Amino acid sequence: MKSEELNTSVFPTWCPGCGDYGIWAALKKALSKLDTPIENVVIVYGIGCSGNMASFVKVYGVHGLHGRAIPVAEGIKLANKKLKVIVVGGDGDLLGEGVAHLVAASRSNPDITVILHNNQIYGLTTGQSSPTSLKGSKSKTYPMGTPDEPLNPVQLALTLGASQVMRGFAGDIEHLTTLISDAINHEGFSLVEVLQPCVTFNKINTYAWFRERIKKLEQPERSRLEALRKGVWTNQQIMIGEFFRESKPVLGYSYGVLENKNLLELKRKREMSKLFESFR
Amino acid sequence: MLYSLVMPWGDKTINWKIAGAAGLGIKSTGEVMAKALSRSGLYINGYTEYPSLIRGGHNTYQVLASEKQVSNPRWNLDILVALNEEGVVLHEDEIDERTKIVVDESVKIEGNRGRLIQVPLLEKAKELGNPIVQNVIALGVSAALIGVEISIFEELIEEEFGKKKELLEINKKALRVGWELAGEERQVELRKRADKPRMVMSGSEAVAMGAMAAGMQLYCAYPMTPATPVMHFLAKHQDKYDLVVRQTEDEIAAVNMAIGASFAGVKAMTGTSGGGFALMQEGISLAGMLELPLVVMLAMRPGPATGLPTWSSQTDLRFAIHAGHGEFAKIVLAPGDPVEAYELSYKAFELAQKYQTVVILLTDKLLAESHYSVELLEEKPVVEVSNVTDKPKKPEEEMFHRYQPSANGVSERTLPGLVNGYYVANSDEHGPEGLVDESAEMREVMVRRRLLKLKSIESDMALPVIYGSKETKLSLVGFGSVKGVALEVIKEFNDVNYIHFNHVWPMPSKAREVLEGRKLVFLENNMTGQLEGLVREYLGLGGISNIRKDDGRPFYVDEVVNLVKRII
Repeated sequence: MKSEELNTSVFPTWCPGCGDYGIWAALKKALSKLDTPIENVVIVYGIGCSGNMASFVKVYGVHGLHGRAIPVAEGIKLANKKLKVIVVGGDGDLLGEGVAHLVAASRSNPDITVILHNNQIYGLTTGQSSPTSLKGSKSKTYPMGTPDEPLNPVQLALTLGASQVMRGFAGDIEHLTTLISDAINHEGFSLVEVLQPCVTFNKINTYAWFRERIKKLEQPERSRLEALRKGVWTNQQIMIGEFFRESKPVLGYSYGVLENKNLLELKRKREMSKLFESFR
Repeated sequence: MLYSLVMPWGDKTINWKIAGAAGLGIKSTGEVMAKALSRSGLYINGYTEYPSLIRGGHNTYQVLASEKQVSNPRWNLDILVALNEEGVVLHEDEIDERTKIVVDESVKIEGNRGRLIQVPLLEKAKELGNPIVQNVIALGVSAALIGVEISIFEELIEEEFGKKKELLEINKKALRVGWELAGEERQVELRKRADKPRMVMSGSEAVAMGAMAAGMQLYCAYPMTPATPVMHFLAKHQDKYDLVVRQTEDEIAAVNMAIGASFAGVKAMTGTSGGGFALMQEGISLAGMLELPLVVMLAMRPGPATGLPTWSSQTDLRFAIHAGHGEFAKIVLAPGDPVEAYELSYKAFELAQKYQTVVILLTDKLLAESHYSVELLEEKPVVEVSNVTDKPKKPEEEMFHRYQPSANGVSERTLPGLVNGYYVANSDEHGPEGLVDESAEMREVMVRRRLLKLKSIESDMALPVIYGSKETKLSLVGFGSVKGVALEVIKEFNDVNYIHFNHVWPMPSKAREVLEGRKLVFLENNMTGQLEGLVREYLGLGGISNIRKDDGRPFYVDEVVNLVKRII
């Protein structure tokens, strides 16, 4: 399938030059190459510029609430394990409003892929500080400079036991496509942070700014600790690529009824009489 | 047999209570008593009180048993088993000169009205090698005082400790020791085991089984009293009954996870109490917008905020009806006893599928954690996932028009996995295929579509039911768990009946015909008359008076009877 076949009748409403175009292109490319039939793909979107992608990709989609895409995705995957479930959200969405769900999912290892558009700013609400804004960077809500330390999603997920952790760059579509393909095929929870320049509201972290600093990892690190070290942002260097992966049981494995079955198909009549009798 | 409490209408009734420090097995002992009296052929009502802590607080469990149906706790006690001094002191008001008080001989009780039966509970328990079994010794004393064959209690203890040989032996011995300690107080005539005793069931168990019968596949929730017993019950039975229980990081995750599962075609439910329900508001609104089936149990407890975590109230009826921002069709059902809880929990799944929206099952602590006698629950077929198509009609290149306008506001959806069924379940206002559309024209179409359902839902809303004689001087009106007290109260009058709402939203307009021309007295476990307000607003009818209370405690039969007398 060609990736253009995944377009809908709505053309993206992002600003010209927005990093979201690169992520959109990479995601469609990855989906078009997927072994899984396209009808078995569901994308769950958060709210924000990234989430607006909901109307631009012709697959099953849920455009949910701000911050809450991950639990929706978990529910879909628990219901039907044949589906490939992908979350598309932003830094405000997944690290601000809904960070509890990223924390929980990193620990519980549902077989879903989270693509985190990190533009270090709130774009759709026209330029407020986000959880990843650099300390001191000026915004509409912090004209004197953001007072908080930026959150590093790669390191956060690594610390919490996420089974696959990656970082890509919206300006390198080919590399990002490979990462996203890998993440979708990985059995377990995958976080793909994507460095996504916001050309309208973030005048610091531009394409050029990133290009000066980005270096590619050759291969995943053997230990979480080493991966953590590589995940750090310095003023000189930001690594992209796959930081770490491990194979471990996915969410659902401990449920007896899901062992050889799909929750969706468990539809037989429940024989209640015996249970009723136990109350006498 | 001891029947010190003979009701004016001739029912023979026994009111027994055990009280003591948390951690002494008050609740489990009480449940054994409830089951034992049920197995001896009596109807029972079991009610528990406990503070929000695990050890050291004051816990009680009381059982009202009768040869006729009983549905609510009564105040005056026939037997009080007190495992400490507080057990007597805190219940002075419930004691009269006939009340037998079983208490350890070491406890000094002065100026008490009841008849003290002081026995060496603790000493005997220590002799048996485990001080904790004083509760079982007390149970043995109680069995003798009430006059129930000890074998019924032994049978229950065997069921409880069957596999733990040592514990079983010591508990059986404790029971016998208690039986002997009763001495001359022991009844001569003993109740035997009934051939087919009734079921003893809590509202929570009934809710859980209604959902199981409906074929619920996923229950996701975050623990919160008094909703959690449903989760415990389902978790215990999940392997045998083809379902999954998922404990989430918070209530927000729970409701969103249920919505995700529902999108994929699974029947899903979540449950919580007021605080958790507050966190679920946005999710409930989402289910309304995406038009996905969702069942939410709201087990009420007194707020605001943390309020009284382990006590009961009916203060969230309006909250349930107005759940979620924005305007959309939703349904609120409020069962009044375990049979209704089973039936309406099942029906919640039917309606959620039929109308592709949120159904809120409104219970409270009184219903959720009390035990009731249940005669019969019916087996039911699994609720089908309906309004789903596997033959989407659409041109090849387009997306499926899932939100196609229809006569009753409901249209078919597809489930992911189906070729060419693509659509977006979109929280943004959308066109038929779910793609964003902010035009005024489309907004109007979609708003109408979502509200149109309310009209059709009305036909599925059962009218309020009249209990007691049709023509009376006065009608009590209530919803949910007050049914229990109301049914007890009307027994004491010839000219008072009770009108029970369990389908509360959307309020069926024909309910007016049931209420019209009567002198209505609204009986509600809240202070603002939430049902009364709805009846006024939607049916245009007012009451002559109301009985309200929100002190965390249930209405007691006696207090309502007195108030009704004053109103008459």
